[in-house]
Amino acid sequence: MIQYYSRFFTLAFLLILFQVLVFDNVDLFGFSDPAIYLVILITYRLTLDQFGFIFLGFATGFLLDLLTHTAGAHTIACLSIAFMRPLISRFALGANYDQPNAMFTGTLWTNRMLYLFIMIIIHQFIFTLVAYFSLAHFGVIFKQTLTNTFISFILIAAILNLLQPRR
Amino acid sequence: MQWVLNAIIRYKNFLLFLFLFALGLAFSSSQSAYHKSRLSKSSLFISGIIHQPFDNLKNYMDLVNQNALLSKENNTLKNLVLEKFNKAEILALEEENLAGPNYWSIPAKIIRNSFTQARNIILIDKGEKDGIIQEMGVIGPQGIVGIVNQTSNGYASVLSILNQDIKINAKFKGSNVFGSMYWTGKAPDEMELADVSVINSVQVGDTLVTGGMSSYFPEGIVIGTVKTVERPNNGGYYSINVGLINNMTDLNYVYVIGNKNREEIIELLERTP
Repeated sequence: MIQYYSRFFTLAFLLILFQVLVFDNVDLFGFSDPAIYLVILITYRLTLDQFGFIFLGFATGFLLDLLTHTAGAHTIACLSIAFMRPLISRFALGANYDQPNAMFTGTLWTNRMLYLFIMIIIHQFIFTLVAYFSLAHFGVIFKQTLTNTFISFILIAAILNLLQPRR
Repeated sequence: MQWVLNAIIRYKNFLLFLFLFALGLAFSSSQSAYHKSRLSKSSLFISGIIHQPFDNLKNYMDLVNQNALLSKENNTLKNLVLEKFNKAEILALEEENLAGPNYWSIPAKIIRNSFTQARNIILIDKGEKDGIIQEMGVIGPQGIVGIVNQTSNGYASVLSILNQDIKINAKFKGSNVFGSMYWTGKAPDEMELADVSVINSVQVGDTLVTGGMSSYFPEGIVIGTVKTVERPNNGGYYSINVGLINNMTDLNYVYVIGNKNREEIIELLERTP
């Protein structure tokens, strides 16, 4: 378990560093910032304590808010998906949602992609909504949510493929 | 009592979520100026340290482009001086100069620029030790950039003009028709101009400059040109879309503008009922 946590937090540290230094500066299509740090919340073992995971979501978002000067948008978005994750995993991952490493083994490829997509789109929607904090900008919120979800989905799927345990 | 404890234990995840959500919202709204300032200063310090080495590397890779830009800017300034010098108007130029006797400028380097959020923030490598204080205006080589928001010893954060909380006092070049410019969040190269009455004539291509009615910017710094004008069917104000001259997505060096009379102006405004 110690080995798992040390690997997980090293990965989390590297992802946040990459997010802040590289991906926040990518600005694809002029406004899109892919959120690769979501890998942290997506891959955290599903069987571990949900109470601690909510804290982890809050801490990840808060740290990103401090580093990127966004007033609470990351915190609220990460916290919300951390809280909703059991529901999403039950809905998307099918019968084997309670596998510890369901994102890598024991579940269907299509289920994993559905889980990934739902986690990303909910996060991006909440993040953009809090950032703009005005329904008058719903068009922009909708556009940014879709674009960021699409790009984040591709990048996160690629990262997960790299992290896939080799047999 | 037992059932209360049981309920807390049973719904502990939901209660924790609610508590942290409230904390997130409180952080987001940041009602307390003191806490907001303390938190912003700490985050400024940390992000300044993190971004600096990465930015140094980026600058090194971009030196060729920056040299070309600086050379172009030097050339423009030189032509301006030569033209004025030939007309023996160099003294008048000094009086007209935007950074004239009431204003001074501090050059700074951008170490982090954002333009994709609803409220964009720029980080610069100059802080309190360099004489930067809150609410100083910031301009780029081609036009205005923002207003200093928070300062730490070595860094400052700047509210970019691409920030939905900012309104800039602007006027049409060569006239005294004033309006308020704000960013709608649609594109990093356009803003809206409000409060311009339909009794004034506005044409596509008209140049907008700072109005000089706030203590942030001197009068006459170029902001942009009118892209589209719509005259409303009812209501007395134009809907004007302005194209920014400054490319906010490609900024490296800026000048922080100090106003010698700023405190006097603020004190006078505060005393005015």
